[in-house]
Amino acid sequence: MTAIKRGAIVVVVLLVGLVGARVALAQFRPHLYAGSILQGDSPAPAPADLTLSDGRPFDLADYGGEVVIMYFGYTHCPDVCPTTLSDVNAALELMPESAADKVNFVMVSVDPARDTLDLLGEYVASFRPGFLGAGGPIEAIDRVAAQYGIYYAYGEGDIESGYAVDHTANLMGIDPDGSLRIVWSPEVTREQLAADLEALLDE
Amino acid sequence: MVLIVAAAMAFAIFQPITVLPRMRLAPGYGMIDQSGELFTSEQTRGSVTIYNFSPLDCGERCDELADTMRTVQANVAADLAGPAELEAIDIKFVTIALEADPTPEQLAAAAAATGADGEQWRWVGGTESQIQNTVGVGFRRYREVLDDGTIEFDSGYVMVDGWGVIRGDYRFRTLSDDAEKMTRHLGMLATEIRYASGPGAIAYEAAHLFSCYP
Repeated sequence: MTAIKRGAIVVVVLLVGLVGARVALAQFRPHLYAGSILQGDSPAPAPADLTLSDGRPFDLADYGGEVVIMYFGYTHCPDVCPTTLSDVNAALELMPESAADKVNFVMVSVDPARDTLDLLGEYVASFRPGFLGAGGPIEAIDRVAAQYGIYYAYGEGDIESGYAVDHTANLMGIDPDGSLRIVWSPEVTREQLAADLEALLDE
Repeated sequence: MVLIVAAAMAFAIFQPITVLPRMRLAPGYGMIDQSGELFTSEQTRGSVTIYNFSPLDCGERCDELADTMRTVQANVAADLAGPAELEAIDIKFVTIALEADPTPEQLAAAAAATGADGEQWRWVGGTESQIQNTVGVGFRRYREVLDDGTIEFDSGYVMVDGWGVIRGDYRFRTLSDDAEKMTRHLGMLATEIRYASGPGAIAYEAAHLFSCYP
């Protein structure tokens, strides 16, 4: 074998090795979540005593094998809630239908005085059919909100005059095993959200 | 022999990344601080916050809790947490009073007694249900008000990152001192925050995946 042939073989082997390494790296590179990942595998805090807008008790056990996105907001919310709900819908539109079908969205109302379950249901479904609302007594909302790191407080005014509710606007992702796995800040883009949701479903 | 030397050199050069676990979400809350102002969990976003839980005054035990907070604060000021990255992060200290409905004056008195300046270190207090939801349900601390008004409680400290995630829960005595441990962990967190974006992020995410926890 001539020196040229030996050299050519070495180059080919090196090239194949490089391509193989690149493919392997791409395969095993972990998905970098845009949201903040939580590592505990204990079940997500139970939304006890909350009722879904379709009339069922809100029980996370009903969503085994699927992802649940939880959000705390209210129907009179002027800005961040409609933007967030639109973004979640847009993220789901970016995903393959089969994956998007495994993502459930529930908005827990932090304004039970004004948000009836019917109103909540209509409001969230106007962003995407299948989105659900959840409500309940204020004590239950307080407890569940605290467990999900949510702060909220009522502004000045009453039902007659109207009032705003200051609230944490994070989105919470509960994985197919029922663990609270990821928290997205309101700054997450629809593309990042879609990618994270797909990765969560693939795990 | 050559292999051992090479391995030792490699270990020294490529030190394994150690990270603090992302345990669970810290609770959301809104309480009154020592100056009578509303202080909320949202105001801790972007800062690393060390919490402890204490009656307004419980003698020696409270002194010990406050002493640990002061020591961590002093260590941070003296840059004993190690990496220079620590200077780039904002660190807050919050003591949640375990009595329900404390007045701002009571909180201010407790703050003055413990050296909480109201800027970096605050005392906050809330209603019975806020304390139950935040301290009991959220931070998972035992607290019971006895018939004679004294409070039985499970002390310790909690470290929360700027995303509202609990990164350290110090409730059991170990061989290393709480203040020393928290100071070291603050340094680790500061380094992780520095590399949270950019090429180093992958290495840190991998460290989380493989749980290189201290």
